[in-house]
Amino acid sequence: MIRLDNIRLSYGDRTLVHSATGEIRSGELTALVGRNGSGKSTLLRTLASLQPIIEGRILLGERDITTLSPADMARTLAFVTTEKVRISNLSCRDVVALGRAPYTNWIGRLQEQDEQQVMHALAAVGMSDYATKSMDHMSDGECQRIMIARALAQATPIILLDEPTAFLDMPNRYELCSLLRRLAHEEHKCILFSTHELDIALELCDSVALISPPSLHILPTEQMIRSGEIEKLFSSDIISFDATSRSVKIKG
Amino acid sequence: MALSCRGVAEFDKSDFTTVLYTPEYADGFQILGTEQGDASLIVVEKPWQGDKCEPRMLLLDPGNRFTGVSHPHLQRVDGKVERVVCLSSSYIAMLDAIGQADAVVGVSGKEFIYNEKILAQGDKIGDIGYDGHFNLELLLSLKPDLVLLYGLSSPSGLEEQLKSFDIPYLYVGEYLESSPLGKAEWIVALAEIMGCRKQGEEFFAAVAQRYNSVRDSVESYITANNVERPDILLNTPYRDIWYLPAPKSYIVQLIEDAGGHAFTAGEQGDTTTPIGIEQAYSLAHKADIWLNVGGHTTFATLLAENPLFASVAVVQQRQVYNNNGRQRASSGSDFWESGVINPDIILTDLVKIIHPDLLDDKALYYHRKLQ
Amino acid sequence: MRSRTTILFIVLSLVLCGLFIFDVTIGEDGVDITFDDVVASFSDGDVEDYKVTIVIDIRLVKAIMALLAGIALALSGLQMQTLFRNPMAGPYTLGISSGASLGVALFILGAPLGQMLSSELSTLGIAGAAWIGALATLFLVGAISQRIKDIMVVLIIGIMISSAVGAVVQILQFMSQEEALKNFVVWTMGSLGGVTWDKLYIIAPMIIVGLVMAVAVIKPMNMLLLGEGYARTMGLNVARTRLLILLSTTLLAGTVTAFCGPIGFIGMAMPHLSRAIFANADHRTLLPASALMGAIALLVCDILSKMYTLPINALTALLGIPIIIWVIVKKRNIV
Repeated sequence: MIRLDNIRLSYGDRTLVHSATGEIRSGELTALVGRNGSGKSTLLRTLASLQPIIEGRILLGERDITTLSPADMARTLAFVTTEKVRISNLSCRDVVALGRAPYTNWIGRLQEQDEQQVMHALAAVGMSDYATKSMDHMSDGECQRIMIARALAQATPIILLDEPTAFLDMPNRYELCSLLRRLAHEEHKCILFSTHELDIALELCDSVALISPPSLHILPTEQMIRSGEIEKLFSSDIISFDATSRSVKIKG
Repeated sequence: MALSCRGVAEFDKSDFTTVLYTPEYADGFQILGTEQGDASLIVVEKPWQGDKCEPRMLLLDPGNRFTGVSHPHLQRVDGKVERVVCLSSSYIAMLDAIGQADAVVGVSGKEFIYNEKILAQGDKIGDIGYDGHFNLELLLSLKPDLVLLYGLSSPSGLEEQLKSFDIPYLYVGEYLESSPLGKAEWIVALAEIMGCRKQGEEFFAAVAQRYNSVRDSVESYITANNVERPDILLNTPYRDIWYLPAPKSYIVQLIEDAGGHAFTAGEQGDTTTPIGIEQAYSLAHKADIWLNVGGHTTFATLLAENPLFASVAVVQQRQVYNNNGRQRASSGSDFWESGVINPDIILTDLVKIIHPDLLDDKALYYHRKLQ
Repeated sequence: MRSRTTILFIVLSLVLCGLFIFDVTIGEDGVDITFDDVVASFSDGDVEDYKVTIVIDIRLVKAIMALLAGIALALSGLQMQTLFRNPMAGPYTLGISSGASLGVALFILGAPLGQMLSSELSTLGIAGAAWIGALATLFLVGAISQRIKDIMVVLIIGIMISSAVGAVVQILQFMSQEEALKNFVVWTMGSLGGVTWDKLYIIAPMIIVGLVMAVAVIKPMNMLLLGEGYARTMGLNVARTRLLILLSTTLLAGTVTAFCGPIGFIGMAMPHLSRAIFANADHRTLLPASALMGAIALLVCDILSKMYTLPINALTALLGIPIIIWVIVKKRNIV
């Protein structure tokens, strides 16, 4: 699980979030929502230790993030970025196997246990048939799933995803989030992903982390809907959030 | 070239019926004269290498008889030639030998010049630079009466400029001659320009006489005593490639006349031919003497550059000589400067190297033994 | 797939051995050394001394140099391509070649500016000067790399430094005399011939160390295939990996350039050819494959350069350029 303690998020010299405190729980799928530029990516990158903490404390599991070595981090948290990765001449299996890097020896040799993790990860995302195929001719959705399988193979208690649904079509978005939810529940992982799909987030996620500068609110989904924070964030002259249907509507 | 008000007439060579001088050894020039003896024409058959060039001519017209004529390949000088710019240091040597060193007002690359008189003049003599960056302003300020230049496989880069500034010039083809005496004979052409052809002829005749006498005695020495001609290896490599001279080239003729046998490559008369390092090493193994080893003066530097050759016999026996015996610190070997008009001295040097028993005086002039 | 890879390695290794032997037995036109002579040279048989010198001190040295240089250039090219995730990267991308040529230019051309420097450098010789030049450039780029996160920016800065150094070299060339200029230009043409056994005793260890460093970064390079961001989250110390790769490249490509002048196209083309032939981006396969292909390529070029008396760079270009074009056209996405 992830605990935030008075975290300050900034972009350049602009403070996005002053003092964020809260907990993202294991065994749950949490969505990170907010307007563009509100700091979603910054938060995820800070959690992944790709960016330094400016103020405050982050605990991963029970350990302060600053005490974790890169090797420790690699076994604690896996990240799926927005980057489109498509390597030619590498089979899906080999891409997923890269996720085992924190556990393999100096040359990256896979042992029995590593092989099992790889096949398990592929099965979990439903891509077992693609094991020997290369990523050259796969669709965006399929590539995305391979990257998630890689994160799974990394066997970390925490998985972060930055806009994983961005390039997917409607059905695929649902499928992906259902998958994440299943993984969180069945494998008791702490999964946090940022998204713009409010409807999917509210329907499939256990909790929502909402960045409404200057604050960050983390609440179970139902509570978040009733809290009125979503309305505040997403209302304007043209649109408003409707709690009953859990969707954004155009003002009539 | 002056254009008179009467308009421009095409130059007609037929006025020049007298042959003032036909070279005996050179084949690159000829000096013609008018019947009246009031003007002379120097015809340079081949201004540069290759086949595609027409003869160039210099008309010496002290009496102003031919004002107003023009021809694409003709240059004309009226009056005496007193200020000359030399693009090659060999021309300086030629002028000095006929007592005209003072006429030199400009050179190309002062660092390469050996001649003491020129160097003593210091800044009074202008350095107009090289192909690619000629100092044209300096050239104009020198107010030359004539520029002596050369082309390699195409016209000199300076020609266009000289035409536009109306400065007369002449292509000197001495470097194209492969015969040692042929090269030296060009002194007569330069002497004609300076108005003292007789002096040039005398100088050359003496050189030719000395040269032939040395050559003949070597020839008879070899035939009489059935002496073997020593094998001579020439030059040093550029990286992997060794350039051997062609069978008819200048150096090879000198060596043959001195009683040696030079390793040559290629069938054509003119061009040097590259051979690989393996062949060069095989030849070095057989050589009795190694000559003209680039810029080296010591075995240390020679072998540092070519460590492979430390074990060959010719190096073991220290029979390695270079033609930089007369050279200033900056560079510029006199071999290529005054050596051009003293082939007899070069020949004598070579005889002392190749057949040391033949001559009493062992001192080398242009050459030196490696230390 | 695995057995195909094994077969390929065996076949290519045999080709390599064959080419090596061929390179030692073949000589130039006009040199009369038979195959028996060659064998006798190695077995202390009855053959003239000078022939033995030719076989052992000229041909064998060159063949070994071709082997080492081929391996070194291909491996440094591979590392550059992976580090920068750029198919057009090669051993000279960050300016090793221009740095080395600056060192050599100061040494040979010794223009007024270099007058002070060149007397120090002249004791070390051309190779030393080239090495120092390459090292200095790499040091500069390395320092920048430590400060700048984005590898693309490092690449661009490296290219700019390379160009700036090249401009300085041009100035030196402009100011120099014919003889020195020709010597310098001949150096830039590259040549395997300037190497002797003494020099090999220096070259071989340096290349081996570079090779070992390259092997040590096989796993990091595989991780870098996904990009530096992913590599970091998998626990890779990216800064240290960059440094190792730069050092390895300096040792490999810098040593070859110092002693043989710049030899182009092998470093860029051979990793691509290996990717195409072995159809595997895993560096555990790609590293030995590129090394093998590099050695084969340069042996072929050496053999051809002997048969036709051509400079080595002309041949590496004629060999490398069609390969690069073919690979790009055939496989539109690389790396």
